[in-house]
Amino acid sequence: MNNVLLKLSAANKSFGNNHILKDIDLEIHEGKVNVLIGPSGAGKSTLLRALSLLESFESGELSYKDIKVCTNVDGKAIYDEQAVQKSKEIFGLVFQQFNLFPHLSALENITNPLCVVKKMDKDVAKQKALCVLDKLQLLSKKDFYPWQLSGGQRQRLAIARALAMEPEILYFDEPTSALDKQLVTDLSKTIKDLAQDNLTMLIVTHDLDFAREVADQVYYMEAGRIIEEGTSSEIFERPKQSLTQAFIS
Amino acid sequence: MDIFTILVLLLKGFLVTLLIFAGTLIGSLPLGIVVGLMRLSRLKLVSGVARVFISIMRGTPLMLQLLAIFFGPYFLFGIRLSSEWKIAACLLAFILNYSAYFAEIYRSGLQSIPKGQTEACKVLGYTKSQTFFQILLPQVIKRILPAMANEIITLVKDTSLAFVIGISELMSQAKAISAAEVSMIPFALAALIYWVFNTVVERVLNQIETRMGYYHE
Ligand SMILES: Nc1ncnc2c1ncn2[C@@H]1O[C@H](COP(=O)(O)OP(=O)(O)O)[C@@H](O)[C@H]1O
Ligand SMILES: [Mg+2]
Repeated sequence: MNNVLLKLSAANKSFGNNHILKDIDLEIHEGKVNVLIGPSGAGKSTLLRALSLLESFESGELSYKDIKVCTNVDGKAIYDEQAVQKSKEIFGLVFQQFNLFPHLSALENITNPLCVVKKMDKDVAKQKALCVLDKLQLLSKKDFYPWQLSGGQRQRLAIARALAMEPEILYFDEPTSALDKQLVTDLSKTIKDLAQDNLTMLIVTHDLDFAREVADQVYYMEAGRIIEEGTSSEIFERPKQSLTQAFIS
Repeated sequence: MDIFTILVLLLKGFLVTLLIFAGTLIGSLPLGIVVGLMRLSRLKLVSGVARVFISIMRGTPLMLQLLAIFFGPYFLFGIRLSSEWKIAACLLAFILNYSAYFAEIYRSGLQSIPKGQTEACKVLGYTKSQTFFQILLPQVIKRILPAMANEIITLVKDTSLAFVIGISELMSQAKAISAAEVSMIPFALAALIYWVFNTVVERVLNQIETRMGYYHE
């Protein structure tokens, strides 16, 4: 139950002269809802993108389970291309903008990656897709195209697409940013359901109410550093660092 | 010559026009993708070669390119030109020229697709070519269809340039018959054939555009 899924140590990242991520250490264990909070511009999205291998760390070491994705050689992060490919089976990402495929129906948005990436048989992929669509209450929308779906439905489709790939950890970037209050409540429920099924999640948000609602483990990030880490009650009720106190009050 | 005989001769010429038109599309639509991707390559040499190629092809007259390719082997190497070479040189010139125009259209189409599409593919584990053929290209085609349609309609008319290397397509036929008969009628009929053909091409392109209308961004 307490296996380490993700381990990041001493990770740094800059854009030009702008040092965005500073000596980040992060260890994520199986089976929890992890929430990364912090003010806008703290570097949360950048960290999530680097963990998703859309950006690279300049230095630091990253591994998913026993896959060493990058290691430090002379103070520089060197990526192993094979490990990068393999680790993509371990994580999934729900983008802030969802990034659904507009030319594919809801069903095809899910079956295409299954058939193309996982080389799954068409019928098997379809069964699988219908199953996840059902789980996210989208079954009746299976033949709709993304433009025909509401914001909340699009997000659920993005979640469904990621889930169908059976990741062990699912990342979310600012999942509440495009949602109204009722939809945030629905999303919280979806996330708790997924947690019930033992899916590990790492959610980036600056929405504190939402974080309180779903989090087991909380990380507070500011100015490129993870300043404090603890259980939801530790961070929200008894924060130790003054910066954390200031942010959550 | 009665008008029926003229029409038959012109339609023979039109078959050659059709051959140039179809051959050019079959060759340059895929070659344009290759050149367009080369143009976007991160390798400076590759993108440089593509850039120079596109610039020359678009910056010089197609008629001159036809002549250069047709006579090139003779002037450069003293090779005698066969009659098969004539149609081959013609197709080669048209394909190279149009692939340069198509390359630019593909390139701007590809660049207009949001980065998030490629990123979604990366995270899901698509390879580069899977990303291109499964996700990007279908969306690019929809976006570039109007620009492509323009070029394709221009191509119908450009095929008449083949007359400069003595290919008896519709235009050369019309000219020859007109000279022999001392009549404008062959030209009028040729114009009619071009116009009818272009109308059909336009119809087909509109049909494809309608069919791609099943989704919006
Ligand atoms: N691609 C990029 N190029 C340059 N600067 C960037 C880029 N992405 C993010 N940044 C900068 O990195 C900092 C952190 O951004 P981000 O990770 O998006 O913060 P957060 O998600 O916590 O709001 C910001 O100052 C932002 O301007
Ligand atoms: Mg962000």
